[in-house]
Amino acid sequence: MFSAVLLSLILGLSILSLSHKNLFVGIIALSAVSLLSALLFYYLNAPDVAITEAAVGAGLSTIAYLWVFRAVKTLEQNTHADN
Amino acid sequence: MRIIKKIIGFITFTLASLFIGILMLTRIPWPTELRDIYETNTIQETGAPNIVSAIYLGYRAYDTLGETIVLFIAAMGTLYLLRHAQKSLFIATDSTKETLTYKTRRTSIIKVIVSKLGPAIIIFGMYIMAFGYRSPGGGFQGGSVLASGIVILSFVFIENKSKYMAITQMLKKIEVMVFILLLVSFFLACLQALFF
Repeated sequence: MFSAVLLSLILGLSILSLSHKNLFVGIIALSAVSLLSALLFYYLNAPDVAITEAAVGAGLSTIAYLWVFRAVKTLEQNTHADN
Repeated sequence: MRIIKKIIGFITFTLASLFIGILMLTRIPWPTELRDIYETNTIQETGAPNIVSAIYLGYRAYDTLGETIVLFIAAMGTLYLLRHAQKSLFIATDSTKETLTYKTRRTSIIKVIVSKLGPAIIIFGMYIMAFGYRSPGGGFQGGSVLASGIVILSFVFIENKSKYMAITQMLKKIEVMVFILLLVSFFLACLQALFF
């Protein structure tokens, strides 16, 4: 039951991160997906995978995405200023 | 055209979820021989109560070593490309705007939370690495926790460009040393497997 609730939340957040217009909301939804799947892994008796998912998926990859997002935003501003 | 694409995507999604659901709902039991072998023999053979760590650091140690080297080379190449891409990306930007974003990112909320939470994260990563044979975790998990702690701390404690450069120089030296250590250990393991 708990895993079904978590899976439906993960599905909804993934659809949100795919379909939202704002890229920042998409990145945060992806990070929340990673966090919820870490909780799911811990619930399914795999604490190793849960630690990895929480550190890599919710921590490092979110930082990398935000970094790229900032670069893309400044690039877009420059192109708009040029036009 | 777009509607046709959406219909095709919906049909593919439904078929895939039906297939996976049928696979998950069948009552065919999972094979248990290998699990039982590991359960009965691991503690006598390796001395590690954590069977996952015993498998990927004991029984499959060469695989893990090669995988680590591949991952290391991939990370180094990606960082190299990213640094050069960032240089070419930020050539056109105004330098004052850049320093402004650096300043506005460092609010007091981030400062307080990170300066209290960062050392705890680093100690937790070291704990995971040191006690990986007994508790859940291991080298990879502890290393990623440690790396996320260092990244979080670097948000706050990079005051200006010169310090940032010093930190990257130090990290580069550590990286080169770790890579040389990995290669030496890999070749020593190959020699040991060949001759002894």
